[in-house]
Amino acid sequence: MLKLIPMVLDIKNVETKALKEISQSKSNKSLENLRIKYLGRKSGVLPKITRQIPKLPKEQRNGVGTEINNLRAKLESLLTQKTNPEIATKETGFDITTPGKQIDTGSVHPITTVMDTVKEIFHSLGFSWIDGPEVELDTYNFQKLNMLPNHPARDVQQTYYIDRELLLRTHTSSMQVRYMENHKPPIRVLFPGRCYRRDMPDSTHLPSFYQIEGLLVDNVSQMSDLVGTLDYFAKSFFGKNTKTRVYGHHFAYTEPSIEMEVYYPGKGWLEVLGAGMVNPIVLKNGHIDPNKFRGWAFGMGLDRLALLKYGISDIRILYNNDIRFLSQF
Amino acid sequence: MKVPLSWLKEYVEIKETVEKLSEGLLLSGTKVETIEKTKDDTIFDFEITPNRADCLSVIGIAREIAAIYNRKLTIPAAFTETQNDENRKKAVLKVLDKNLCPFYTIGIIDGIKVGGSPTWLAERLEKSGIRSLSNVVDITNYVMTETGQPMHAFDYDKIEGAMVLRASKAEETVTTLDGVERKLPSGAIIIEDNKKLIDLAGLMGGASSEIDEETQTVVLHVPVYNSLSVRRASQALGLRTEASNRFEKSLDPAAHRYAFERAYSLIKTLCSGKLASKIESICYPPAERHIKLPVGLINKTLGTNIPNEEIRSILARLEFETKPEEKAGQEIITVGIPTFRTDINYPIDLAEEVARIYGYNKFPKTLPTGPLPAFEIKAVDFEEDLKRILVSLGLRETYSGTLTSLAVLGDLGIDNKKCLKVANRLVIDYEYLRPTLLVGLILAAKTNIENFKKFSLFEVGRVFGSEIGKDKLPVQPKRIAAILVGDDFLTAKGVLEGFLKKLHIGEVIFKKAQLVKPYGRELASIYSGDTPIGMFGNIDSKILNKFEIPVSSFAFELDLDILQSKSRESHFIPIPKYPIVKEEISIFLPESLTFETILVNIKKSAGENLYAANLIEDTKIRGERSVLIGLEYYSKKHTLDKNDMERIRNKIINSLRKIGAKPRTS
Repeated sequence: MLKLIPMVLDIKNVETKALKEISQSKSNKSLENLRIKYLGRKSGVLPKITRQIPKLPKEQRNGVGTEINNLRAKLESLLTQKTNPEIATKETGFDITTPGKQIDTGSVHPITTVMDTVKEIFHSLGFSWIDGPEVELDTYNFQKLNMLPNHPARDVQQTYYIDRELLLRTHTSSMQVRYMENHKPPIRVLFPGRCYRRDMPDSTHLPSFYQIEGLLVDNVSQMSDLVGTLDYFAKSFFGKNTKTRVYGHHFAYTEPSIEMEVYYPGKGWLEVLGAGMVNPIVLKNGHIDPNKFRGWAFGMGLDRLALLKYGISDIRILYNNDIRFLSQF
Repeated sequence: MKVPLSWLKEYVEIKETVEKLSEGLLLSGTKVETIEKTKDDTIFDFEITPNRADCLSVIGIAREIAAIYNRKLTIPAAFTETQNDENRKKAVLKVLDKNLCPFYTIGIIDGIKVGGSPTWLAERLEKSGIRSLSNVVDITNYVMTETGQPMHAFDYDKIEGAMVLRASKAEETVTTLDGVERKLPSGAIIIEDNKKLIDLAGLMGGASSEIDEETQTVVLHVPVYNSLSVRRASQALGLRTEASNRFEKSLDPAAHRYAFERAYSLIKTLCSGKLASKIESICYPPAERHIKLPVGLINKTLGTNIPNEEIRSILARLEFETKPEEKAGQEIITVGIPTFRTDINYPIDLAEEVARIYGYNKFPKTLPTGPLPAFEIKAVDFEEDLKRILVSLGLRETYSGTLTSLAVLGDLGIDNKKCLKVANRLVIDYEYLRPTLLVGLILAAKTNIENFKKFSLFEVGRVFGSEIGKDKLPVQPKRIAAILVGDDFLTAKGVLEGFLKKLHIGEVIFKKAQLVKPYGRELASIYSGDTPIGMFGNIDSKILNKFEIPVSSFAFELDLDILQSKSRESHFIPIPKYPIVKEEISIFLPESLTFETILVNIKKSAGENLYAANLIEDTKIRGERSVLIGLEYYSKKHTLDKNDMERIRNKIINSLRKIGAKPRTS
């Protein structure tokens, strides 16, 4: 009685041997001899093994036939290919439109992709980046940005408080004075990170979201550089034919203040960011002499950029983590 | 703020189409939120930024239009009637704290016939979003909408004795015009007479002095209140009105006089009222304000080339008076600030005025030309690297909310007392700050388990604790965490080890750890040398059940900063010149010996001849643990021969025997 394991090993050995002999064979005649040796109906090696199968115990028969058939097909196609290379390529009969095996790949979240794109664009203008605290002191989030307690400008930024002094930062602008306190001009830096607003969640609002802030301070900066840089950014991010426009706005920490819109065909003008010249009061709070230095800053919502870039209409899907969403990126 | 186009046209010529006009307003800083076209009019809804209290008025918007298009602004003529000598009555208002009401005008009007408003007035108010009530009340609202200056009319006959304005004490109550009895916080501004509170000043009038059909005489009070007091009271009471929205901003300190006169002229015409007292104005007119503007500042800041005449012309259109002077070769303009522009305090504020009227879109588009920071530009972003590695290992990146609920923390077995919590939650779902990234990852696993049997997710982000660090902030380290759903321990650990290897983290050691929820029993602390870098283990099966995840799941969470500090640069190690020799050894391990110990021993005993040692098989033979280890030896100096091999092997075997392992060489 044969045992399964030696038999399988036999098939493996047969395969190794046959492949070697075929590859070494140099004439059609010797190939024909090999065909008879392995596949010949009466005395071929494979038919011989096949005839042994019924003698195997039932539980060991499984799969042996298939294995032999696979090997037979492989040897036949190899022999044909060797004997007549031109025909062989035409006649393999393999359907090359059969889909390949699905390989599981990981994926990067679209917010990360958008963040990295923004970083890269500004990196080319000499900006580095640094992260900062999300639970922040009121003083960095508001007071040092020219928004004293009870300042009406605080109204537009519904705030989560931890206690009287601590809050969840409402914008990445909280990093402006923190950074200025530790760095002398020239400054070119980005502050990406998570921010919070005390809003009811809906398709355009979530209690937390991502922003990226940019800050430049030196002795020659001017507002036309800000407008030019933002236009350069929009063209790099949305495409080189992107149209932008800028209009007056108000932020307590910039003066003058602006917002920028990009033109989206079919949708019209869409607001993408707020910006302005750093208010001299803020420079002073950051221990920088406003008589010697000027600067500009901008801030934009990364979620919003992701929605625009990928045509997503509901911000909540960005944070649901449904693989059917994640796997699209 | 809602403003009908027809009303605007009364003060300034408008030739533009509605679309052109709203574009012109937007570009100069007055955003049009919506445009509603009715059968005979167009109604704009403007978003007015909090600095521009002056634009919370029809005249304010008309003034902007006049400045943008360089047109003339015509506002209704002020009161011209010579004052009544008789002064039959006298308005007595005692302001106990001047800070609460620094400016005001007050006067008494009698002979009033209260009734409905004429249609034109009622319609204008309704188009502006204000309900028409009666002629006197409507006029006060009309003039507020027109000028931005709120005012209040009291029924003179309902007031007993002198009026006193003071700060409220806590727990005082007043019934306001809407019939609601309100318990006041301390510090709200109130007006009382001898007997009762008659006004919740700046917010809403009191019911006790309300104008009704019988009213014949009114006290008209046009104040500028302390904006902070109104704001605090408004927030404490949760009450916002058209009046409080204006009072809580910095109002024109001079407008009260004009607004009184304007209201009186309408009451006279529409309600046949007559002035019955002197018109008293306190602190009127206010001191003039000037700013010295070095003209050069404007173009230097803006990066533009606007001629000085144009700068002066723009300022003049905005009603700033300009007087040029020369000072040490520098041209300085003394700019007189109109009283309604309380937001203009510094030269830079004037740069914005010039810029927004000149037009930001006419600026040249330049790029920064200044010196680059000496600060090292991060060529490599650790976070980006780390994400790339995890993605290459087949994991998907997720972003979760950082705020979570007491219930979710409870299900995860996390003690909420150590968690940071917001003081003013809006909904219970967003109250606690996550103490671990596993909160979001386990929820994400729950989201996906219906559609996928096996998946791996990761997230990078901050977690929060309640203890306060040196910087006065609660601890909020950045972490990297992953969950492997439907995997086994060794596969999950393999992913983690592959990740750490790619990051070149040195001397990684796993040590059995004390139970920490939401992990289960197969839990390890991970160290790099002596430094703990995080945890790895299975998620407790009871917790998985709560989240309806029916398959075994593993997770790890590591500290990002520590990881970065332990991550080494990769250094090239020369590929061996001489052949590598491979062999396998089987070892029986008593329960007390860990694989880690075996490996350390092999490394130590083989020394520099060891190229690699890998676990090939880990089985139990007759109840005893048996491991098969593939060993690879080499030498940097020569080809290893049989004797060398024997020497190395013996060293390994002897050292293993010493610690109680039983090698079985074949």
